[in-house]
Amino acid sequence: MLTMVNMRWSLGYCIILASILTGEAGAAGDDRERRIEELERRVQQLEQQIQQLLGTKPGTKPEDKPGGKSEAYPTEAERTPEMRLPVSGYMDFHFNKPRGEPGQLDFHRFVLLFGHSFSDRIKFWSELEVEHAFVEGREEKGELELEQAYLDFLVKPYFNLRGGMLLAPVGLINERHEPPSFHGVERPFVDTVILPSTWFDTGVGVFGDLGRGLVYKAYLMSPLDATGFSAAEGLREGRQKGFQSSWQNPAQTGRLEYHGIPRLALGASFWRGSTGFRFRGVNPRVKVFEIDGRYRLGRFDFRGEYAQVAISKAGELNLALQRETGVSPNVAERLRGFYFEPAVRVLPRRFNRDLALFARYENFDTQNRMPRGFLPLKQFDRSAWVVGATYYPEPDVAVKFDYTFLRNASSVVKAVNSLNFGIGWWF
Amino acid sequence: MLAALAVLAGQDPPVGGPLPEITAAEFERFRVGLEDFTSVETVADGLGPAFNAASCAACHNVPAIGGSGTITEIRAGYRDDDGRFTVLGGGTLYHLFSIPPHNCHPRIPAEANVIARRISIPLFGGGLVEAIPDEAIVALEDPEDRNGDGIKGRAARIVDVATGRERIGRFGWKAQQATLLAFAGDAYLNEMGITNDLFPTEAAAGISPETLRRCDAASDPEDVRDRLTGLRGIDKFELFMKFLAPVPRGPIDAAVQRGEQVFREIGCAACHVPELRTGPSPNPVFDRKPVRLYSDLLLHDIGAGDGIEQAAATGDEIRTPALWGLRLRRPLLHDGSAATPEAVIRRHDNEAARTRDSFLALPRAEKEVLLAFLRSL
Amino acid sequence: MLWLLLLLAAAPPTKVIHMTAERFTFIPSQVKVKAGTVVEFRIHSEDTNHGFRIPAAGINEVIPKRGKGELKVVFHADRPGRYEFECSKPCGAGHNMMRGVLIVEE
Repeated sequence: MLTMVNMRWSLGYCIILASILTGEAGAAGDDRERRIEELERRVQQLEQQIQQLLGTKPGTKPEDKPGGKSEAYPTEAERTPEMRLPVSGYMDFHFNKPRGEPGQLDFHRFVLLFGHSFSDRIKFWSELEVEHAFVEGREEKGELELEQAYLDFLVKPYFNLRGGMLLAPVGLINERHEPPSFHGVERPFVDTVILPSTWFDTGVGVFGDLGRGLVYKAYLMSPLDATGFSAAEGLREGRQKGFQSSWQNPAQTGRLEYHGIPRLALGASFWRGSTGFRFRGVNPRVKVFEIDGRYRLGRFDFRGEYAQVAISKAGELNLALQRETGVSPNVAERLRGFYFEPAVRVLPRRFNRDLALFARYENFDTQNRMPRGFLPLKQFDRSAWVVGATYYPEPDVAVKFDYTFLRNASSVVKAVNSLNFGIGWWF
Repeated sequence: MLAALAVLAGQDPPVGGPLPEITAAEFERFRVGLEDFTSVETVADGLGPAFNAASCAACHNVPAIGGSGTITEIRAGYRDDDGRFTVLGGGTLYHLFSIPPHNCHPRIPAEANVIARRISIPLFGGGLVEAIPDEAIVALEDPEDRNGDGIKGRAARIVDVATGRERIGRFGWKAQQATLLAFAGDAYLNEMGITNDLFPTEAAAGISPETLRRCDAASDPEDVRDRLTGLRGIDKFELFMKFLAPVPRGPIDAAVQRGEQVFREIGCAACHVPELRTGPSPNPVFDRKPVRLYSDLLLHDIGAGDGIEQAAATGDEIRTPALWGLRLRRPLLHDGSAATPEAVIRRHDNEAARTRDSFLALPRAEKEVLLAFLRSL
Repeated sequence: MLWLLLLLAAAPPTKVIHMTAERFTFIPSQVKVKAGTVVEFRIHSEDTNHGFRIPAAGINEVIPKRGKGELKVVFHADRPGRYEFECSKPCGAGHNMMRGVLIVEE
């Protein structure tokens, strides 16, 4: 390919050079103009001939080797035939051994992603997840979930429409949860009990690139259901997951990402919604706020996230659920968590494989502030050190190992450390 | 009736929460206990082979976890013409269920001539009741009826299984246990078949010991300490009941106050003593606190006895039920056979015959305010 | 010497654009060049392989995975206009958002 390009320009140079060398010295400017025009016309002819010689059409299958080619392009965008994107997927497979308990082998996730381009402007994307717990000595059901299924209408770079089953644009992990994308066998605790990843539901919204590295998303989504809130896991069981979701009072959510500074990626998101649609008199409003950042410096990668959840009328929610079910869930008014994770790639660049060492400190409290008259359960005021390594025999395959030191502020219930291994891949 | 209850419940503060002044650490213990109280036991946990339910909360859940229920269990025995009671088949409690393949299902012997039913007793305010000193209960007893009012309440003198000491029982329909730990251990074995440190031997009425051994191979005691808390199941149940708050009073208006006066005037308060006090305690939550349970915790014969002899109680005796939370409980009486408080009052006899007659003789308006008072409890 | 100057004048200006592709963005996502420039994109990925597609130019190449090299694509920005580019290999949840634009000015 490269030689073709070189050939063309070499030809051009030669022609010009030849013309100058053989041209009459001191010829009139007009004469030279005419000759240059003539030359331009001939160059154009040559271009077309070369195009024919190459005989390629736009939209060919991608080839997996470096280098590229460019072609003569048409004036208006060519109409692309309907293009089927290939199937993608990710899977992960875990071994978890909490201290003092038997180990558990679990094929945690088997996810297939399908997309389809109806045209350059209308695209469909979906994610189908099978969670099948293959567990020793305990009963557990698997889950089959449609995590994403939406249609994108691409209008302008700064404004596009989306509708369907969407991922809530909150937090780092919710949208970036392919196994090679994060360190540690399990997802960070903050992204599990403070931000209930994987958080998805039906919705519509807009998104776009505002230029200068600013990218935004703003959606209206089905709200969370307050009857599922709990002390241990916060909002997690309140996810409706698109199962005939209630659309009274859709929640507003959005995310802004900034990639303007080299090697730095910053993000901020929020989620706001009324969650009391199953009750008659109680309507807790939930506000989620989150900021995150990722920074690369040579072999080092730094990642950090802070998330905060506010649940209004949590006290009334507890009382209402106590009247209905006989047990108060002891939901907090405020949940808070953050983590910081440095990681370093230790193998030299020339190796085909990569090995990263990481250490993550997490601090997360799902009972951070309680409504008046309620006491916090200190066993849920937790912190963790997750230390381990990720080995990439190939950039899309991650062999993970970590040891999780878990602590809580309780004098009654002990926290348990665990050893974890995992293999995850993306294709 | 249920609609009326629902309306009332909606206006009341909710039931089933912990005592208001406890510390955060005590609250955690309460919740750990609540979790175990509701957790469903399996054969692997030692359930069975014969049992009445697989979790405490399965029977104790009205109007909230820790309450009463609608499930009735069966007791049976033999009573001869002189009134002497004989326990048949190794016990009086014959379980309702057994674990598959049901070859260890209890059989009530054909000789049994006493069959009795019991619903679950509510557990609200258990810690406060436990903290009432034995002396306070003994001070109320009058077995020889020295004051001539016809009431012969008797303290239930039992031996506490945990300490081996003689104590005054107060928990259970027949006041068979004095401490929450023993009450929990008793229930764990007798209702669910799970042996524990206080009741370490598998026993079930109507099933021979050899058959029991065949059906339940799990080593005893089946109740073990939980790794994360260091607590046994019976410890957790004790903590739950200990910090479980009593049912708060309903709305009080002029009619209710007048009704309480009538309640005292006709003699209900002689057994349904409005208030007892806890003894001194290092824990401020239980230190000399009023316990408004409307019961003297004594054994009485009011003609509603179920005929089963148990612990210190004869077949005719039953412990005065505590009336706190009455409005949220249905059905009534130890066997769940009464639908309304009025029906219960009509069933009072023997020691309570005089008071019952006074009630029936009341003018209609007085009856109404008394029932209004009962609806506020 | 004149022919040398003419030679230089006739040589088109080349601009090398270093671009990073990562889930789910191109950095930079907006590129501005003058018409007549020969744009050489040098794109590397920080994670999986992405695609680089300029529909208006018929360019559709794969960006190799992290550590497996760099994609070099040459594009002759002769005519002014907006040339949108996008990731053409599904790379995850935000794949459809992975887009950018090359603006060729007069």
